[in-house]
Amino acid sequence: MDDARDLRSATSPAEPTVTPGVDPTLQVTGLSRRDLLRRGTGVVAGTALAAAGVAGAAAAPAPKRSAPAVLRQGAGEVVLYNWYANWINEVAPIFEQETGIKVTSLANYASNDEWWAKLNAGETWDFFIPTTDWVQRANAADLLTQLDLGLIPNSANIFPDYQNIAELRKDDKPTALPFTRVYYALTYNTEQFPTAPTSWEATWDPAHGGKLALQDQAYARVGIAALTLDDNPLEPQKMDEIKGRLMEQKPLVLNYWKDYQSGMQLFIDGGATVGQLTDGRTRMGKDLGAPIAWTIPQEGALLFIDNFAIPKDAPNAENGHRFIDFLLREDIMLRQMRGMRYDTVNAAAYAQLTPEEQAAFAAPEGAKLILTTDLKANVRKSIDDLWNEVKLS
Amino acid sequence: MATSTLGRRSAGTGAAPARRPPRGLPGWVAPVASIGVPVAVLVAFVLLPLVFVGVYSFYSLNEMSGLMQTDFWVGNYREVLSSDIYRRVLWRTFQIAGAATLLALVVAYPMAYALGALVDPRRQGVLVLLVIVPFWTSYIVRTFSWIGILQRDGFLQDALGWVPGLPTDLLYSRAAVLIGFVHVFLPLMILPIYASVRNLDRRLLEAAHDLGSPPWRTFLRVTLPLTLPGVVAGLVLFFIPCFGSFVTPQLLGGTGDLMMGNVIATQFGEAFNWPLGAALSIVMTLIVVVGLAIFFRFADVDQVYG
Repeated sequence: MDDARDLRSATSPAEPTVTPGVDPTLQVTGLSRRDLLRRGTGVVAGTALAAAGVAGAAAAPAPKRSAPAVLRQGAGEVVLYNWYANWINEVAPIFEQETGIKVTSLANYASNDEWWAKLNAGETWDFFIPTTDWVQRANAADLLTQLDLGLIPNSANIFPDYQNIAELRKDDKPTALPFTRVYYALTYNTEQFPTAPTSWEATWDPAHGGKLALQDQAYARVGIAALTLDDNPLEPQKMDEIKGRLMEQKPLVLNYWKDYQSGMQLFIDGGATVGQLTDGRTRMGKDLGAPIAWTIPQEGALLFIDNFAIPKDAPNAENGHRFIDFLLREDIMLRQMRGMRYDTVNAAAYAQLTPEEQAAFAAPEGAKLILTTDLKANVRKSIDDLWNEVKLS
Repeated sequence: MATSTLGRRSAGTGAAPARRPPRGLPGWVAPVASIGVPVAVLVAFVLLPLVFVGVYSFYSLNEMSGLMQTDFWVGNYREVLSSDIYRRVLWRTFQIAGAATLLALVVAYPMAYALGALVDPRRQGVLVLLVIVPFWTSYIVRTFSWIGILQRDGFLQDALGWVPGLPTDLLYSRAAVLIGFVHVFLPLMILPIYASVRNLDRRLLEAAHDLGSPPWRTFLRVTLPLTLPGVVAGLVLFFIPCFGSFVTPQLLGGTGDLMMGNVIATQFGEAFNWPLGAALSIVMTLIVVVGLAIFFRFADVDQVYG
């Protein structure tokens, strides 16, 4: 296996330890939104909350459920809720044809907080795609079904080092299975950079002033600045120095982009020559004709993993397992790699790629990748404050 | 508040005669239904969600799990009120929303005046429809369209590149945010002013003219005061959505165009600090409500509404 795709080898010994899984014995008391609804606000309140969207969305812990996850008999249907619409919509008819199970897709979500709000409000479905830090939160709130890998034989296709990520387990059983990885990579214009820049310092180089495009995300900005200072990006200590670095960088920035489409567009025709984008969006932009490429600089890069999961109260949990197994099949995962262009942790799919395709997906040999996990609340707050200060300056 | 006052005024002039309740129904049904249904809708879709947001604003985060825990904690408000960061974000939000509102007034008043006073009344309906048509397109799509217009080598430069001094770097700037706001919410400013202009008593304008008043003085002494209710309503209706907006500064703004809406959105998404986001939302709501209350208390509303 390619070392670069091996999570353990990809992270250096000096790298900070990822945030450990949340203590399952944690007692969080009080009312969830579910409880609020149940305790007498009644139908009107429920309607109001459903309409309230963000305003009413609660992150309250779900009531503790002591019963083990028992798979219910499938009802001939699987209900999907996801943010990989292009791929899922393409392969769902194949699943229906092969299994006879009817696929129902809910509207897609654009960010993890959307499914979180709905799940806590009492909605449910059979399959969804949370990012690792949100899996940790869902595990802490006991919102996920513990997966029966006997029903998902294709889970063997996952790279071995991605099969036992602690953050994706609860009570030593998997609650989510990884399938794609996203690098917050250093993206550059190949006409301006005949050879790939080797350091994030390229994004502090005044020579590229007014041509920098960076993601408007506190944890990415602070994390990458921390990497340049040899600090821990998941629990930075050198906050004053990081702030100084970000202030120093700000005058060079063309735009802090918020959504990935805008970020990609900046590199295609928006005048950006270097900055931070995801590897997947860089590949997509290159497919569209932009002279761009991505690299993992020597300081390292943040790595995000998207996962398959099933809510605790899924009505057709068994069919949810079957759908996960179907998606982990190499030919189905290949459609994702060639369509949506995200890198996978699926060894069987990788084996199907040509050497050129593998090179386009693989991180550089020996690259330092830091798996981004849930940060402690006080760390999140201090990073968020720092980023707001930088933007206000 | 402004709209309800306006509503009461207009109801007095053009209200249809009260309908009799259908035979067989008790007499109290119609009034209860006519009042009860709107009240129920307001309670269900405005008041209760606000109450829940208020409740969440007193929750805290568990230090270990990061999850919200239900207690009664005023720390979020202490944080909001004591933090220099949020004060500065609030001030910047006022600056951006205020500038956009004034710019919209400058753009909307001539349009509304032309529409209500200069255009043949038989054609006004079509033109009013054209003012409203953009509302049928998604806010986000309309905002995205400005990226294509304002970006370097975009539509603006293609069309007007020959104009000397035309700025080429409008996108990702404060100016782009103001343009975006004015475009997106302009009908909210035009329509109330248009309604005021339509209700102008033409005889007063003719009298001013007959008494030798030049047009500019007639405008300042007659037209503007008489259309002030529409202007006030437009200012209020326009300012409030700008004040809470986050999409426009996010898509069009520069590196420093941070508004409170952006900060709140981040609390509910990336920061996973919903209690703080809820507290910020409540503070923003209170600022708007108290601001309106003070305005209508001291602005001599009766004078404004003639």
